[in-house]
Amino acid sequence: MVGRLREMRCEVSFLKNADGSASFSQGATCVWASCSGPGDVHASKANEEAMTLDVSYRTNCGDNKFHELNNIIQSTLSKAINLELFPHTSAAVTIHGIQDDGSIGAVALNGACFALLDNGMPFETVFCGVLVVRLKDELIVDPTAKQEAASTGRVLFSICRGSDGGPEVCSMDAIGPWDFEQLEAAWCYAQPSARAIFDFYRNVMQRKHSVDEQ
Amino acid sequence: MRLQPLTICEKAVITEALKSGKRFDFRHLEEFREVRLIVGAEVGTAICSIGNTKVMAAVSAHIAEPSPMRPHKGVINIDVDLSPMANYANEHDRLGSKGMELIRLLELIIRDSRCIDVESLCIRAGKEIWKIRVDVRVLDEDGSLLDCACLAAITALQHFRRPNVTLEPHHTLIYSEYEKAPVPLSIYHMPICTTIGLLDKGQMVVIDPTDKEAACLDGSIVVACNKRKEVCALHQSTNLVLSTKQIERCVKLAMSRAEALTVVVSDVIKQDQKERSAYKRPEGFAITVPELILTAGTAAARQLHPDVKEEPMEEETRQPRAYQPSVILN
Repeated sequence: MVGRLREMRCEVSFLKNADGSASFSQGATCVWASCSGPGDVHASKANEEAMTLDVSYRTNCGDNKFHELNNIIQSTLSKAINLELFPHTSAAVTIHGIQDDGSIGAVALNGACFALLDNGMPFETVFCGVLVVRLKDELIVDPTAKQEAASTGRVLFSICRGSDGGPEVCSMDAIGPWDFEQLEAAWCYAQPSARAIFDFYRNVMQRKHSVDEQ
Repeated sequence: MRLQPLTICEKAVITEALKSGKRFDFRHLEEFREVRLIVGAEVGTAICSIGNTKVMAAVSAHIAEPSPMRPHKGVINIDVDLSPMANYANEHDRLGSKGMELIRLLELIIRDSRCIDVESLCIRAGKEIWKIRVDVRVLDEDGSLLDCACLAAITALQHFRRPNVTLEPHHTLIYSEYEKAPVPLSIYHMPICTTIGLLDKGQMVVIDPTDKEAACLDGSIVVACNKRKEVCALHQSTNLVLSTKQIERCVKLAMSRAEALTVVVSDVIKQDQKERSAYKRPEGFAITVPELILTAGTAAARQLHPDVKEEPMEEETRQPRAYQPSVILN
């Protein structure tokens, strides 16, 4: 098994117009994410009980109206943020996949979380994404594009931080045949990675809010 | 979300400053902002930034059937995406008038100026051609959007390599990049755009206006020209009446700009080719972007746990420093 994350890099608040922005990369995979809101919403989309979330993952090429990642990101976001705090408003979350070198789903989730953190959204719990693939009966965490293409099964965990500070599965997207033991093993490998990502969130946000470093 | 309009007092201050020849970013009226250009690890991707405006362009190609009217000509499609990232007033998958204007002008500049040889994109007359798609993604906007989009698109087109093909009697073989070297597009010339703001009914010019300045101007004129001193496109945004002399002055400014930027684009492409031919794995946006484009005023790219890294340390220390093309023209 290869239970390692590639090197993570992040830069926050670099876009002029968006309220919160982040450029996040894991190895050579890189996304730019932005979050604007809560702001006013068009009457047709307004929800009097909760904030309207407008999430879109944009690829480099082609039409972006529907993308398979939108679902998992949207459901994770609505769990991680207490939407009922802001009725009659909307927030737009955009994630541009700038460069894809594997595990783009996980990177997009992490980038989205950074953008929301940078915007100062009130979180119920922070979240992150970890992709685990099975390659010849071997589990690989955070695969490169080559490993991902050769894999026989993929599972994308969207992970929340539980009340005890440990990682908890928020949602999951599995492709390919998986039996229960394999999934459990994949989850075991994903946990330390999730902890590492949560620590990274803390580091970056501490850096951002510290006065003396700038 | 709705856009916040410029306040009246802000507008008054900016207009007054411009009229006395001063600008809020300490530029002269005829001074451009810094241009930064980066190409990605995948062929045909580029990010360009002019001041705070940031645009990404990606080029892709696939095989399609030509139109019966032009059986031996390839097709170039341009797509623009204005997401809420660029401006919170935008909506996902909806272009609006600004986006439509951008698409039409990019089509005019890139397709209709015939800078790309479309006949070389034909594989089998009437049957198969290459369809080139240029996707322009606006990431952040702060004036001179067209300049930035055009520069990113041109760089991406220069950077792009299409797969090599051979013709067999009954089928076409498409090679991967490992079997046969991919082929660059044949590009005749590089049209470069320059936005010139007009003040005082065109008496004064304000070069490369930011968003706030643009809101105070009477109008603007966009000149696209190449280094051979040919004007490829001319577009005026409002209905000001300009004299020939004023337009000539704008064109002259645009020409010197085009010459300088052409050098930058070819430098970036050359540098990238050198690195690729030396079998160096291009880092692309992952490392260079935080260093070159993101100027948040915070510490440089951070890293977590150096021991978790898969790459060896040298990979990171020798960063392509010479790879930082930036021009300030006076």
